[in-house]
Amino acid sequence: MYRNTFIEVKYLLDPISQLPQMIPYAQATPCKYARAYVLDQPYTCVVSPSEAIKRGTIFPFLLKSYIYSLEKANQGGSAW
Amino acid sequence: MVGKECKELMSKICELEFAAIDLNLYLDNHPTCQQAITDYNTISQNLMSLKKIYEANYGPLTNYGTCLSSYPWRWVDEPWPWEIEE
Repeated sequence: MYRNTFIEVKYLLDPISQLPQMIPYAQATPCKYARAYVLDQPYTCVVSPSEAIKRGTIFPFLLKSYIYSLEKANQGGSAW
Repeated sequence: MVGKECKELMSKICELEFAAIDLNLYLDNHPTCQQAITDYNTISQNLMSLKKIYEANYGPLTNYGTCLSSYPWRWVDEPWPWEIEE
């Protein structure tokens, strides 16, 4: 029995083919559903649509973690 | 051959569509955010008017009943994305 911790999928391996065999949830062992925790995203401001498509998001808030990488990319280096 | 104006209009449409999708996703999780709804509606209105201009001048952007066609049938009369020269 394997459990995917990110997506609620449970399966057994077929004894002959060794391929995953889907089984109803009720038949699976009593595993708990994985839970996603999402930080609240404040709506402070948005950038223009032309800027958003370059950045990959309209929300400057989401770019906070990537500012260093973006600066590097803007200077011609690799973002990662 | 696609003209410069056509390309610029398409770029603007892509930008607005991207912004609309991003705001749509935000609103799925924050359905009571009035400012986000206002921004979404503004962007959507701009997007709809640009699409109308594009379709009137360069042909339909979508088919299957979402856009009228002039005569002759214009859906197959446009360059495919890979036929557009940079």
